[in-house]
Amino acid sequence: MKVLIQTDRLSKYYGKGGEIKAVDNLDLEVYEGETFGLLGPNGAGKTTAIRLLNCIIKPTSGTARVMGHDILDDDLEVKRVTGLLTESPGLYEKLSAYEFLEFMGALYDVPEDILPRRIEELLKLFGLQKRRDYLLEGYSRGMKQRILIASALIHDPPILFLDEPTSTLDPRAALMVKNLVRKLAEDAGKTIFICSHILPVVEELCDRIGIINKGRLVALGTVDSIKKQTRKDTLEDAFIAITGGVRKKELLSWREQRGTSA
Amino acid sequence: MSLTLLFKDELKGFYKSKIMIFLWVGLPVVVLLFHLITLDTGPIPFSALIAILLASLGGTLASVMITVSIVNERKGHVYDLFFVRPVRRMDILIAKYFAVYVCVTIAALLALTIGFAYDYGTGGAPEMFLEGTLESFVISLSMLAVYTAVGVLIGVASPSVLVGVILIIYGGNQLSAVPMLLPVVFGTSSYFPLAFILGVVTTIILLTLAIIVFNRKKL
Repeated sequence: MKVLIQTDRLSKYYGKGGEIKAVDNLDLEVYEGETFGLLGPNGAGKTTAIRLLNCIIKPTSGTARVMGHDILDDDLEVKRVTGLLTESPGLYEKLSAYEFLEFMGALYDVPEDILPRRIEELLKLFGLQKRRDYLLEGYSRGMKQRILIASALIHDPPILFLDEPTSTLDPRAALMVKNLVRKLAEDAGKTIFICSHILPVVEELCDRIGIINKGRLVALGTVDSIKKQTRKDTLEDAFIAITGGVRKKELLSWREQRGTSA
Repeated sequence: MSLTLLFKDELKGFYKSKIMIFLWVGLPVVVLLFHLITLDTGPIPFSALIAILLASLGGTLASVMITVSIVNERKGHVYDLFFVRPVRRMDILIAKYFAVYVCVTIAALLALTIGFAYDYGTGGAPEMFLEGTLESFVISLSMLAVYTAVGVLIGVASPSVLVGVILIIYGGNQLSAVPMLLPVVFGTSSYFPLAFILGVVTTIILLTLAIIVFNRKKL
């Protein structure tokens, strides 16, 4: 299988002397057509990894290649072959959905004879055709998320990065986004890289997952293989075993201690 | 390519949020009101007074406008939309700078036109009120350029809108006065061209600083 994303000891450190290791020697390969999930607790380095791979920030050391383009030397080309939905992006709320997509398409130099058709197709795909001329300020959160994903696809990139695509959505909007991601992977053959700490989303959508903790990749494989490696029945248990979380019983232990002492 | 697009987008944003109307109607109205309140301005023609007023009034407007816009967009993660796309960071700032400068300059020209019309209507001879006014206006435009650049720098560096506005009030006036005051300090005979050149140079320095900060900033 063709490797579309390949990182080579990719690292990003912050603070004096680099004591905060947001991403630490990340070695990873993502294949063409797969949906890959990067899981990790809050602050594990997921968003930093995605920002490095999209050339928003520069690595402290190491590098990565995205569709053969080096993130250090070829940032504009990397951005042309990827679409990214960041965790909480802003919008130009005074634009209509159509105008917004038109503007985003123009930024990618999508030819003028192709752009209107593509906008119509995306509006149809995302169920926003009827409200194409409404200002974005009147859109619900779920609708805004859909228009943002549409804008990440306006130049028809082979790779789509989604950073916490459902974390701020209600269950109905989250389901819609999940169905869209599935459709994009299955029907359009996109390579999708999802960052999330919501385990069911990743479990449901991803062919392979990587678990990142304190900047380091600590597990990699299919959900089943990770469950097997950790000898756990669920991904949640495996995740906690790997990242060192605290179980509910331990959280309530203070009550038992109080009961004993009383 | 992206610079032109971003510039047009900024202008569209100002138009849609009615900033242009408030600016283009508001500035001439304010100077007119100022003239009505202070009727006795001696031998100074109204148009000359406007040209002088524009530097401080228009300048403050420009720098507040651009600072508030940049801080709000930073806080609202609007720049994420551009950082993930093939857009150079410096283009975002340059487009915003020129959009604000063009808008404020048009407002200043409208105000000045009203001044000329008023002076002409009240029986002033064109050679009387044109004399010196155009030079003052060009100096005002040069100060506006500095003011707007100060706004960009503060917008990029300021942690909040409030801090940004305070910094503009503290530093904007002083920095924008550089092109006007330095030629006086040097006692040069060619005041007008030197003031203009100083305005351009100060603007370029401030914008370069803003771009450096913007490129390094983790947004």
